[in-house]
Amino acid sequence: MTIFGKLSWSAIPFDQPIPLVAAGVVMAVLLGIMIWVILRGHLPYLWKEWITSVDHKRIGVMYCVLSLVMLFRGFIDAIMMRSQQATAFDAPGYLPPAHFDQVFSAHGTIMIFFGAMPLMIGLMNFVVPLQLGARDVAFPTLNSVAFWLTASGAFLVNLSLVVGEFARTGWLPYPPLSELKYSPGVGVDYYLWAIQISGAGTLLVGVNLVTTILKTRAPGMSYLRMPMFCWTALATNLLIVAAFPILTATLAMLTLDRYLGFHFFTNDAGGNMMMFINLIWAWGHPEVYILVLPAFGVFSEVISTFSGKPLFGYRSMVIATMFICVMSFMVWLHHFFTMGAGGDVNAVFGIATSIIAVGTGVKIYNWMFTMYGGRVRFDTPMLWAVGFLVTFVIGGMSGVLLAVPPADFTLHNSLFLVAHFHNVIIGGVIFGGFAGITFWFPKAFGFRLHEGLGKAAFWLGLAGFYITFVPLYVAGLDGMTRRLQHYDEPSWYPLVLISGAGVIVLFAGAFAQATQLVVSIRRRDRLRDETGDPWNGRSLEWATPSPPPHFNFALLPDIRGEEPYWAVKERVLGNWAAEPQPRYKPIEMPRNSATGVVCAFFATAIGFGLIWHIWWLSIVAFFGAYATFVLFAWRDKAEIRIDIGEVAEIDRKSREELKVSRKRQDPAPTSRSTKDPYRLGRTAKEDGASGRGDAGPASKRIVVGYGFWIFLLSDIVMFAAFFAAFAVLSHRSAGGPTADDIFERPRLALETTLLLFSSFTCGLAGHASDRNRQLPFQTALLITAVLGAGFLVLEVQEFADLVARGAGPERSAFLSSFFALVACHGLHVGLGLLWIGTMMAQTWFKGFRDDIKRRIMCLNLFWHALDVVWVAIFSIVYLMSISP
Amino acid sequence: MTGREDFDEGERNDLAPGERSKSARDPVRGISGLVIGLILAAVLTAASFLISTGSAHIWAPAIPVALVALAVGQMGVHLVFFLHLTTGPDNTNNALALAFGVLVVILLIGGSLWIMHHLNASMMPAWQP
Repeated sequence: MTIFGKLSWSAIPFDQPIPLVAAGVVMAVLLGIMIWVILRGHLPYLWKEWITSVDHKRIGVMYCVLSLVMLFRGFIDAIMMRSQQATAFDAPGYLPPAHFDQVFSAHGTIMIFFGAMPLMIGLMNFVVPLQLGARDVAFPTLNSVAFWLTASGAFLVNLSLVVGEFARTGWLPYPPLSELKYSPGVGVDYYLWAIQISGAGTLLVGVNLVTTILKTRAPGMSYLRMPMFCWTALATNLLIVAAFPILTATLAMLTLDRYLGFHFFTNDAGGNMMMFINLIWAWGHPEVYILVLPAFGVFSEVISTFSGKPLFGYRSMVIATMFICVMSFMVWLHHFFTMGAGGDVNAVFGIATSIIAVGTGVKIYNWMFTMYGGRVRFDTPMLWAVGFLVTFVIGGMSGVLLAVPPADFTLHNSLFLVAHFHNVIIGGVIFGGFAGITFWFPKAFGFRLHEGLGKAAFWLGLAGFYITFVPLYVAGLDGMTRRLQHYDEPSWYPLVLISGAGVIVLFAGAFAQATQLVVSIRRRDRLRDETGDPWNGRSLEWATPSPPPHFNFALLPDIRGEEPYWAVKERVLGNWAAEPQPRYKPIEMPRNSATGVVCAFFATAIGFGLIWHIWWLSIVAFFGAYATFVLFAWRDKAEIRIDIGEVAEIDRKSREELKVSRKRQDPAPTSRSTKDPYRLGRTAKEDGASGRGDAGPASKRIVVGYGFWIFLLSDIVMFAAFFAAFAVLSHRSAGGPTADDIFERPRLALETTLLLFSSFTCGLAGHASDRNRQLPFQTALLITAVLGAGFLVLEVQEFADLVARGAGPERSAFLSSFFALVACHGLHVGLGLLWIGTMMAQTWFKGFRDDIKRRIMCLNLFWHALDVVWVAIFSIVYLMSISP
Repeated sequence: MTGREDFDEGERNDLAPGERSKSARDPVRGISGLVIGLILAAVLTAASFLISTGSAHIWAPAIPVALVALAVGQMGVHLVFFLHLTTGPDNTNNALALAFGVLVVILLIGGSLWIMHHLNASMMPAWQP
């Protein structure tokens, strides 16, 4: 073991020309761009306006850019796979198996985690606050942290191309193949750390957007006045918050297996690899809806706008969305019908899967009825939406077919399955992403995308999709399995060739997209959108100028009236024209912060160190990240104030422009849409009554507290995953010590007492902070810390005893799951102690400032939640195991 | 457009999680709530420990059930007395988020146990744990 761990020159694949040349080209391009940026003096602009920006619009755009680059990277993998199979009939093709396996693993990983997810998250980030009438998301700096963590994960995955290798295990690293014994290289480690880092970012997005939607809406924006996209965003982010911790826990278990010799999923010592598959799909199925629900939201907005009508069946759409949100946690077994559960388990999950399709069916009909009787305009976003309707129905039907367990037994792992999920992900998520990008591009940049090239991209994309994937459906029915490096069945060959031809058409589509972007930028003056409302839109974002000022709304809109979005827009514009000088107020906006990019830098270093066993690097980087957060928490001014004069000046300018351009635009067909016979819900009565929760954005204390509450919820779900693993594996002691041999009541009683009292003293500290009493506060918190430290000492002692007795986690699956669960709790206590220390220091030096009191409130929640988790641990893990 | 942006945050019928409602904020009641919580939690903890040792008077199969019941009860005590969760209208969002989390936790643990039990039962005898 050297200072560089496992890293040496042999990690760079000098013997494999393809990845090396590809990586060389990419690096040359990146280097060229960087040199160009520096030489032209754009670096300060980039740093100030983008990299350290906490503006949700900028971050949303950066997410979309990252996604487009990664979609292209994943598409190159797809080209390699299809061309390999086209040349590998009765022949070895040009990709050796080890490389081919990395290509399909990287393709899936990149497309899902770094292509599709950032695309959807980017759109939500950009649009949701604008649609809600909010000035930013609830936690702007965390938003920046989240984006840069995602970028860090993407960087690590791509780094594996040059330094080392990527996983050869598929996009979900099923054990035992992914265990150290069968995948000794760094490939799986790259996967694990890249996904963990970007997963942390995704979780932050979830917490952030749930809080934004529930707590920072403009006055009068009651739940049932929110645009559909906000509803689907709410459902999506609830799913992120509840599902991603399961992924984190599951991958952590695999990591423990690989790094510390645990036995969660190994062949020996009682490990159960089927538990991995169970847990990963408990995340994986909600993930499917995390991807597609925002796309459903985009289509709802696009179809309603381009049909010139309100969305048909708004309330049924809301219900269908929330129904999918909950149901998506009840169907995960359909991903492994063939693993060997009995008929009744398969039947229950098969029926549940068919039922979840009902929610989607409702939506399809609603979209069709929205178009019915409308004045449909076939601009590019609408083309994507119509293409989606047709394509997604086919994909959905093949999905319902796969939900029938007997059918799944023949189609499982075949190209039919591959065709099915590409059918729904490309036809749903990617079409939705492109529709959304074309739709909101003018809002983001102030000019439209070139219409002709957009239409060309759509038709090529649609045709390319069908030519590529319809043959794969057929090949799958003919028995061709997925991930074949070569094959010798002649009847598959023509199908594979057609599919390869489809990829060429898709490439032409991608080329059209790129050309569209370049041409549109060059002709931006002709494509300029001066109205702020290029599509005659219906929701609040179109009431702002394009691009919107960084505070979005000079005055917070007040939403009331029968047809909220449409009517509000009309009234807002009317008001702007009529009222000479509205009563502006100064606006406080969050200051830019380098916290995000610096944290991501340290996260990348932590990940890289862990992948290559360069431990010192990870430790140094961890403290770097911690120091960054402390510095961030320590800063005194979190906000900049925009004075009335400046607000008025910006607003006056945009109102002038709007007034001029609104006159040019043909009068909006309001009368037609308000008398629309298909409009369901949203009666005058409901709109007149002021509902609960529509009093405008909540106070910061509520916003912060609620955000932390949501984070804790996700933390609890992570514990639940460890609990599930313990519950399943607790009897697998593999001949080693059992619970009766190792658990001791006296120590447990002492630990429990300490933690219980610390919860009490923590409550006292919170009480003291409410009344600004410094000394009682410090004392109570100090006692809490001492009690917590005592608890930790006892726990570490217990662990040390067990390891010394040969009852360490590497002994059996039972001990692995016990150690992981209890140590995870202990780790939380440890982090809590660090936090207590920083809070004591902050309060001592800066007093009971509002922002510090908010953090104290969160610390309180955290500490009490730890105690709640401990209740479950001491009674169910310990006492139940040793009771007679 | 104008007029309502001066809205008073106090009119919002909403509370941050963990905060006491206004009526319960006087210091004595606040601390007494913590004390009650501590006592209840201690009693429930002691009951769990006591029951888990088993005795001639307790039917053995009831012990796990009793432990789960006591644990759920104690978590409830913590939620009410330490985290100040109520069912009042000012706590709707907080309680709903918790309910969603509990649902997912139950589905995840219950579903895993059910699925994995079935898988194990289908294994050949030599491989059954």
